[in-house]
Amino acid sequence: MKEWEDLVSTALLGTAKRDVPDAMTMASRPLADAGVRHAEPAGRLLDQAAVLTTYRRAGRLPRTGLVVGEPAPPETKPRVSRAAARRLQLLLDDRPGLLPEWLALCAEAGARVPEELLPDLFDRARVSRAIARRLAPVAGERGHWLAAQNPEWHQVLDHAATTVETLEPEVWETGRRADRVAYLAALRGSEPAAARELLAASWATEDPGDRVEFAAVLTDGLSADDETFLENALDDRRKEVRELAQVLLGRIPGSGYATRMRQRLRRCIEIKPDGVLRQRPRLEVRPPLEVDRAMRRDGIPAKPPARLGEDPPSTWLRELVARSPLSTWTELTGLPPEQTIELHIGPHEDAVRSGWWAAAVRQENQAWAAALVTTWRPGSTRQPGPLLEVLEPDRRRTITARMLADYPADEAAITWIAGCSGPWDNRLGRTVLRSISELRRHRPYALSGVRAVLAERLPIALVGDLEVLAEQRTDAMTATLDKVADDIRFRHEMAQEIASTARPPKTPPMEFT
Amino acid sequence: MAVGVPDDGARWTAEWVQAVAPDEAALKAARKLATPQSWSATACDGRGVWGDCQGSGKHPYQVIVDFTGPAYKCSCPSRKFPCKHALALLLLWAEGTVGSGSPSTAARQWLDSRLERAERARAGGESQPRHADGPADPAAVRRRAEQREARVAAGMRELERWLLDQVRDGLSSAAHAGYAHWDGMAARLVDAQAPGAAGMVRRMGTVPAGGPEWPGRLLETYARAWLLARGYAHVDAVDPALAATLRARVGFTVSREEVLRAGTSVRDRWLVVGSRDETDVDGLTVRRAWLRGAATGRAALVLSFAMAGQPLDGSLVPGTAVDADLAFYPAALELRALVAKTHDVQTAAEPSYAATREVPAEYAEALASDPWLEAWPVVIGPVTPAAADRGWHLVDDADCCLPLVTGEHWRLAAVSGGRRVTVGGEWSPSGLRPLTVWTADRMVRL
Repeated sequence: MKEWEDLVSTALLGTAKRDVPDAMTMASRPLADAGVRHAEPAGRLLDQAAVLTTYRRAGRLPRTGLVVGEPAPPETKPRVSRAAARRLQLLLDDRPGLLPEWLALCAEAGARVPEELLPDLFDRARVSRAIARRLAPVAGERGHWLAAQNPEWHQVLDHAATTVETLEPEVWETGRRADRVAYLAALRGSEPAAARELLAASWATEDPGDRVEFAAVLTDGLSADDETFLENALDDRRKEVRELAQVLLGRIPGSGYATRMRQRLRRCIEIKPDGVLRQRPRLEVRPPLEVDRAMRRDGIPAKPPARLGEDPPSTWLRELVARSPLSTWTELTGLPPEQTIELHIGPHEDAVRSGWWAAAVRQENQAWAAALVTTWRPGSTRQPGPLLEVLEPDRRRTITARMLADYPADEAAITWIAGCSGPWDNRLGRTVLRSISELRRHRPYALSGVRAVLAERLPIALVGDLEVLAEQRTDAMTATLDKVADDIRFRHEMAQEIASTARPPKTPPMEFT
Repeated sequence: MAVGVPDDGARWTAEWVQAVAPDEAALKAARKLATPQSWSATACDGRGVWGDCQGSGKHPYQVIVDFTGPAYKCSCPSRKFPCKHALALLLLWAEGTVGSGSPSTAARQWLDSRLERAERARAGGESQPRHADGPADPAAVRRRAEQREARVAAGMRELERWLLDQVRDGLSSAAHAGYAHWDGMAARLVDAQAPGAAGMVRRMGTVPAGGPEWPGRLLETYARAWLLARGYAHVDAVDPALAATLRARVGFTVSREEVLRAGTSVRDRWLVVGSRDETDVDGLTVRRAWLRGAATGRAALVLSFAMAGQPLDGSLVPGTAVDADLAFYPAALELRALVAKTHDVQTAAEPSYAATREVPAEYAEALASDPWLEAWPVVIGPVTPAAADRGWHLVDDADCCLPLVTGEHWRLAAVSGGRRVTVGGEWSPSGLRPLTVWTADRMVRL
């Protein structure tokens, strides 16, 4: 509106410097009709502005020509009960730790989340894999429809849902980073080689800060075909990219990286017959004497971090073991992992064991992780958590239960309770409760650190056992255990609310017409 | 206030400080902090004392104490009240180590807003029967009212002159002036007991930082303040309803009793279109419940207030309808109302809705009565939410599109699923703020 713009530019400069435009029609007529004419130019401008402001505020007209997209397909699953929906909102606000369990229960009940909570859940799922994985089966048709509309949610539901077919190839050329990562991940899912080649083609021109996110897409569907690309990435300017390439190359059997590491390690280790009876062999380990350029390129640091207070050769040895294929050892000894780690090592034992723990995590090696984690003893500085994460849930639970049964009253039992991620089965839950009963007598204060863990992971069915445990004694822990029991009852109610969700009605709900 | 407050002008002693401390530990901690080395930018005036206390964090805590009350404000996360920082500041001040000075912007804003609220409370309480100290002297009441009238009139004349100065000197100088530019005028309006106009001026300060085209938006706010000031100059001459609107916008309050006695009373089945809570810097939460009458079509706004920790009035549940008498505050555009009498319990209600194209027309009509109007309650349908290049819109079958307020509206989109819904919310020139949505089978609060 020109009349208004003239007023604004005059006001901006000031009526002291610029005359108030006078040829007003819309603004001046009603003022003239009312006989209003302010003595000062500034007043006349404000009078006119007051009239026009009111016109402008009142005069907003609807626009036309907007296209409404396809509606979401009809739902096949029922929405959870109202009570369950209210509880889900409460979890989103205050107890996000319980979201994975709620979602799993919802899936079990064959229900779906209330539509209005999808945006909040998507935002949570973007930063939590545990939530993202469980959200996909309960998001309903509406969830998939909605995720397709917001680029930030495209990859949230699962990689399988975002197929290359549903994405436009231009996304890779012109999209934002999150969209491009989603596109690359989808392509990797169906055509791993094509994804790698696409990334390789633009690699040199990508922002160095974005590269690690793109390269991480290669983690899924990793194969020997990726080696050349990753080998080049070992020389990347960014440390994060180099480290990712080292980890991924270490997971490709027979890769140049794995072979180089194997050869370096072999130069440091030997197997010798042990003792007079020569029944049990021993490992003879000599740390590397220096780190050359090629070793540095493969990620072995020239100088150990000062905080560890290690001598450099020990650091080199530990890093070398962590990065070398674990099969190097079993091939050398001819023994399975659980027997290999029993062998006598000598003065460098600690560096080798630390290296093995790190290697099992880096290489996600289940057999080694299981073997190593069971050698854990009270007082060890190595934490069981990372190795437990490598294991399949069932094995993780079995091993944790066994270790807790062996060391129920040790303060370190806490590291197992905290390190074994949920869900727990009843057997593990009971072992944990026994351990807690023991700990309570000897080290009550250690328990307060795992209150949240117990509240989230103890099976709902064990709430009675927990109440009995709380009542056994009156001490500093009674209130804590009561609180845990409260939390578990909360989860029990949560499960009942979800289970009470009505089955789908026989006739579909009426559509809004 | 249990411990009593020293007379105006008298400095607190350390004993007074001790008396307001929540516990011994807080006092002990405060004594440790009560050294000039821990403090910077301390000063005081007749109303309060303020300063910055360097804690363990990166930023110092901003501490303000208002002597009336007394009341405390501190940016620290402590739940003790007053916290050790406020106590330490009082101790310093009691020792006489804090010099007098003019308040920092934050201190003045907070002290002003407390004064404003006190005024509001006082005005609201004026008509309440005085107990304990006997009936008020009617002559004194009248004298006070006259004094206030005179002060407000002077304040509004000053606002008029100030606006003329702004436009004469040009808005461009305001761009770099910072909040202080407006806060000074706002503070003078608070002193003049015109808190409504003061709030209008204080909000002007946020416009230049609000993105491009700020000169136009700033001129709009000036124009509306000008309209209020010019209108108020004739408040005794205009129609009583318009006079009531002018007085309400300037900041006079009308007591509940007065509204119930003299306000228009309307019985209807009132649909609660939606409600929205806003909390100000002092922790005062305002709940706006928007209503539309099923038979009369009238719009109404019921406000309720609660301080931090107090529960809000939850009697008007969005999506329900209540058969009640509403008493409207006197105004040219009767909108704000009280629930005078409830005849029947609330029930879930099917909303009756307006067509998309009726909304701007209805709003224009409302503006004609009250040009200072901001939000207006509407229920529209059937519409489909759609995200477009220039923001979210509600689209009806006739391709008529109403904008939603700036921001994301994914919750609404999720509930609609790309199908037609009925939407209730606040309409204003910046678009519709959706508060409630009805689908074929249910109602969802947004």
